[in-house]
Amino acid sequence: MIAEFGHFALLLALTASLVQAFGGLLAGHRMNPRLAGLAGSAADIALIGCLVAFAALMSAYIRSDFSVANVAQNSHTLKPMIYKIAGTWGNHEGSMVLWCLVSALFAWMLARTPGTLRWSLKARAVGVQGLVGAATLAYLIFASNPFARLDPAPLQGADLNPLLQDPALAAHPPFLYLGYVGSSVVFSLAVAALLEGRVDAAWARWVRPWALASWMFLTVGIGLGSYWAYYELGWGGWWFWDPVENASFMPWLLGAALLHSAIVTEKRGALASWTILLAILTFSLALLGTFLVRSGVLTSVHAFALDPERGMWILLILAVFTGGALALYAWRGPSLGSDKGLFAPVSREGALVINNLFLTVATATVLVGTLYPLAGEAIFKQALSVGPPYFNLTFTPLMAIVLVVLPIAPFLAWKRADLMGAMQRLWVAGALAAAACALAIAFAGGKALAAVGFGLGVWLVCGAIAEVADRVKVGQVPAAQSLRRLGTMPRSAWGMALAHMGVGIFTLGAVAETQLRIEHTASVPLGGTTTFAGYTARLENLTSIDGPNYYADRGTVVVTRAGSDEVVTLYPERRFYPAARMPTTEVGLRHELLGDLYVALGDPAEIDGAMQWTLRLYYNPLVSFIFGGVLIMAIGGLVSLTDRRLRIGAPQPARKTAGTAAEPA
Amino acid sequence: MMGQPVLRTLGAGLLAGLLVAATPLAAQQAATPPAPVPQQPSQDQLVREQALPDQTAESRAMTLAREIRCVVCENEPVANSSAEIAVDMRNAIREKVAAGATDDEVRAYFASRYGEFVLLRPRLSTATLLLWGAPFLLVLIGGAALLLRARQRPAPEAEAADPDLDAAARAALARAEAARTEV
Repeated sequence: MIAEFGHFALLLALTASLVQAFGGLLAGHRMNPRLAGLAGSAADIALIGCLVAFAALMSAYIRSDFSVANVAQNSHTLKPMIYKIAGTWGNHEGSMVLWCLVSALFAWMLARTPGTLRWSLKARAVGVQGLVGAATLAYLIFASNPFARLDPAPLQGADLNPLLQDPALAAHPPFLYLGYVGSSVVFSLAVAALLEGRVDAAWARWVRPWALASWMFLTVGIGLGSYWAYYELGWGGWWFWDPVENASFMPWLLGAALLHSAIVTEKRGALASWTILLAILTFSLALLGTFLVRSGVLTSVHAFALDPERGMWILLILAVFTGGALALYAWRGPSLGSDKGLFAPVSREGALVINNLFLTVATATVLVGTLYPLAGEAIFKQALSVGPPYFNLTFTPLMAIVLVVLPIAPFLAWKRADLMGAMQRLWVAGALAAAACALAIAFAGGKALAAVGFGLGVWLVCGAIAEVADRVKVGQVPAAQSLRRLGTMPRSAWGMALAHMGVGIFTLGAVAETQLRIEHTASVPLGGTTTFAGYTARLENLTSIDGPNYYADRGTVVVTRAGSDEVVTLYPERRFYPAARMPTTEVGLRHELLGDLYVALGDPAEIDGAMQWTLRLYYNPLVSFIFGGVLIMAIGGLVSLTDRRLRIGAPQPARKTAGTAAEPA
Repeated sequence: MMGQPVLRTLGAGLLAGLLVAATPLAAQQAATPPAPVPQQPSQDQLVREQALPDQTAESRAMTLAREIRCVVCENEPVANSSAEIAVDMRNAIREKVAAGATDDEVRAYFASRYGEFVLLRPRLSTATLLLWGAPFLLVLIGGAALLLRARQRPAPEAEAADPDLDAAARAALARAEAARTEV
C-alpha cells in the first residue's frame, strides 16, 4: 500500500511540475504575477510529492518489502541498516527518485526565497526548473518505476552490489546529485534570462550562489568517489580517467569556469553571454554524464546500472534541453547586448578569461577523450581505447597553465592592471616555488614532472597565503591592525583563498602520489616476509571471519621499518558476499600525513605443496594531501557561500523602493 | 607593460619544462641501463609473476603495463587487474623489456596481437589525428577568437555605464554594496 502511495505521489509531483512549468513560463510571457504565484504553489506540491515518494521507497527498503521489485533486486534482510537506508539511492530507480527530490527542493527554494531578482525572471526560471523536473519525473515514472510490484514476492532479496556497501559510497550519489541538480538551477536561470532578453549584474548575483553550491557539492561527491576507489578497489589508484569518472569531472571543470565568469559578469557586466553559454553547457554535461553512466555505451570499470533503453530516454532529454537552450541562445544571445564592461588584456578580467579558455579547452579535451572510442568505432571502424596516458599528456599541461596564472589573478586590478607590480607582490611565493622545484630535483631522483609539479603546488599554496597577507597589509601597517583586518575580511575572500590553497595542496598530493609511489607485489607463505623500500612486511596470520552478510579471510600483516622501532599491523581482507556472489577486497591501510602504507591481500595459490598468498604493498606519499586538498576546496566554496552578499534570502535592508521589485505572492 | 615579457618567459620556461616532463619514458630510455642489481636471496617465491631484477627495467615494464588494456576486464590496464590473462600479459611485457625491446616495440607487439584496442595510449594515425590534435586545435581556436574580439573593441577608456540595468536591480545592488562592510 505504501508503495502505491509513493507511486501516486510521483504522479502528483509530475502534474504539479507541469503546472509549475506552465505557470512560470506563462507568467513571464504575459507579465502576470498571479500565474507566478500559481507556479510557486505548484512547486510546493511537487516538493511534497517527491518527499512522500522518497519516504515511501525508503520505508520499503527499511522494512525489506520484497514485493517491491526494486527492493528485491537491491536489498537483503541481512544487510546492515545503514546500507538498507542508503540502498534507497544505491540503484538506478532509487537514485532517480533522489534526483527528482533534489530538483523539486531546489525549484521550491528558487520560488520561495525572496531576493532582488526581477519577479518575471524568477517566475520564468521556476518554470524552466519545472520543465526539468517534469522531464525527469516522467522518465522515472514511465521508464524506471521504482514502485513496480513483484508477485509472488521473493523471500529474500538479491542484495546491493557489495562494492557499494561502504560509507563513502553511500554518501557519494546524494552529493553528486546535489551538484548536478544545482547546475540545473543555473541552467534554468540562464534560459530564463534568455527568454527575458536581459542579463545584468543582479542576475549574475543570483547565479553565483547556485553555481557555487553546485560546484561545492560536486567537489565533495567526486572526492568521496575517488577516496572510495582508493581504498576499495585495491590498486592504490584514486583516479583512473574512466568514462564514469570523467562524466562527473566534466561538469565540475566547466562549473569552475562558470563560477569565475559569473564573477566577471556580476562585478563588471562583461562576459554575460559567455556566462549564459557556460551555464547551459554545464548542465548539459551533467545530463550527458548521466547518459554515459546509465546507458553503458562506454565500458567502464564502475558500471553498476546499465540499460540501453533508458539511455535513449536520457539522450532524448539531453537533446531537448541542450538543443532547445542552445537554439534559444543562438536566437537571443546576440541581442542580449550586455557585454558592457571593457577591459585591457592585462587585468583581472583578462586573467579570468585565460582561466575560462583553458578550463573550457580542458573540459573539451576530457570530452573528446571520453567519446573518441565511439567516434573511432563509428567513423574509422576501428576499436580504440583512450586511457590515462592520453589525459595525462593533454589535460595535465592545459591545467598546469591555469595553475600558473591562478595565484597572479587576485593581484591584478579590474579593467587594467600592472602585471609587474603583481609579480613583485608575489616574489616570495615565486622564490619558494623555485626552491621547491630545486629540492624536488635533488631528492626525487631527477623526475622532471615531479619537480615541476611540486613547484606548481608550492606556488599555489604560497600564492593563496600571499593574497591574504597582501589583503591585510602584513608588514605595511602595525600587526594589530593587520589582525583586525583579518577579522573583518569578507567570507568570500576567505573562501577564494581557501579554495585556491586547496587546489595547491591537491596538486602536491597528486604529483607525489603519481610520481613517487612505491609498489611491490609478492607471494608469501604464512609467516613469510617480503621487503620493499626499506619496509619488511610479514604475513603473520590468516583468520576466517563472518560478517553480517559476508565471510572473509583476514590477513594480519606486520610491517616494520629498518632503523625504526615502529611496528604497524594491518588487516587486509578478502571478502565474499554470497547473496551477490561477489568477492571484494578490503585493504589494510595506515594513513599518515606524509604517506599511506597500503596492503591488499590477493589470491592464494599452491606452490611446491605450500599455500602462498599474493600481497600487494604500496607506499603512497602525500595521499592525505589529495583528499585534504579536495576537502579544503569544498570548504572554501562553503565559506564563500556563507558570505552575506551571496546568501540566498539574506535579509535585505528596506525593499519596495521601486515598484518593479515587488515579489509575487 | 614591462611585466609581459617576464611572464611570457616564465610561461615559456614552464611550458618547455612540461614538455620535457611529459616524456619521462623517453628520458628513461635514453639513460644507459644501470648494472643489474645482484638479486638478494629472499623468501619471496613468486607464483606466476617474477619482478625483473633490474629496478629500472621493472618500473619501465610497469609503466607500460599501466597503458596496456586488459582484454577481459572492463576498462582496466593490465597493471591493475588480477585476471589470469592480465598476469600473462604483464609477464609478456617484462619478457619484452628484458629482451631489450623499446616501448614502441612492446606497444606494437600488443597492438598486432590484440588490436589497437589494447593500447590505452592510442598511437598517432589518421584515425587518432583528431584525438591528439583536439587540445591544440581548441586552444588555437579559442585564442584566435579572443584576439579577434579584443581587436574589434575599442580600448577601455571610460567606465561603461549600463543603461540596461534596470532601476530596481541597480538600487538593490547599491544597497547590498552599502550594507557590506568593505575593508
